Amino acid sequence: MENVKEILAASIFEVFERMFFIFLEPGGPAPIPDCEAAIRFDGPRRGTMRILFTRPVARLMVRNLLGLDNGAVTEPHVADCVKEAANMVCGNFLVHLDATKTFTMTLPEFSARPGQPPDDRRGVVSFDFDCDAGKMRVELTMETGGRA
Amino acid sequence: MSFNLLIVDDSSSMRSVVKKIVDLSGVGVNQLLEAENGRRALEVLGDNWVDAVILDINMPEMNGLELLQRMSEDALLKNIPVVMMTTEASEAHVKTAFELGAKGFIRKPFLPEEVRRMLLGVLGFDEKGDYGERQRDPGGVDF
Repeated sequence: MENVKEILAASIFEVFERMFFIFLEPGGPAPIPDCEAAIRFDGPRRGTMRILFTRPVARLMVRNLLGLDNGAVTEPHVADCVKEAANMVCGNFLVHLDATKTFTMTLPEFSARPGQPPDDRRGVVSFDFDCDAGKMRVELTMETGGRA
Repeated sequence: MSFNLLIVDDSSSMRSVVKKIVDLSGVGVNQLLEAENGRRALEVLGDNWVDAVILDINMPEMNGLELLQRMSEDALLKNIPVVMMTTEASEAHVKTAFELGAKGFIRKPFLPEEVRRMLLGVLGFDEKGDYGERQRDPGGVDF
């Protein structure tokens, strides 16, 4: 699991720095998030990745990615960017985990009402981050089994 | 010289980012077309002359590899250069894409320069941005 944590952290930093120009720092537990995107993957390992944001961070992602002023950012922009972030972090993580294996990913789903974290924390890797605009969290749930 | 390009990605944000990169690339663009999935891309390809396609994989309705398969089976579409631009970059995905005729593969997250360089390459520009050198000297083979 330590290996998984290292790979996940590197994948998150790479996506946020390259695509969103956001430099994350490890942070304390996030306040109640405002939105999330979730994506499931299947293959040699099966699991779910959730990325939870406070609204200022989500809006900063949109502004940086699309070069928009804060006033021009809309809810559809936020939903699309948050979903694409989950798609990129998950895909990047799986390639770094084992590029010789084939994983399939679902389409990412956006929610403006994030669910509760899983009660059973076994197999869950989570990271909390700070950036200039606020906080975000990434949760990876790895299930046992998966497609051979 | 100006080109018609098609960007196929279900994320409107990613389509906007690629459009900006293309605008800044120095490539002359006549039309920058968009589609949000493979099925819609087939309609666009049926209605327009397209010089190159930038194609995501993970999309609803018809994914990028399915579109590539359909293009490879169509005499009018199979020679259009396609650059994959996707997070799904396992060795098997890359191999399948090239077997189906893709001319390039860019993994997300990408740097704008990677997209620019790949696009110039498939459109026949050399590394200095001169058009046609690459076509006149395929692979630098000395006869």
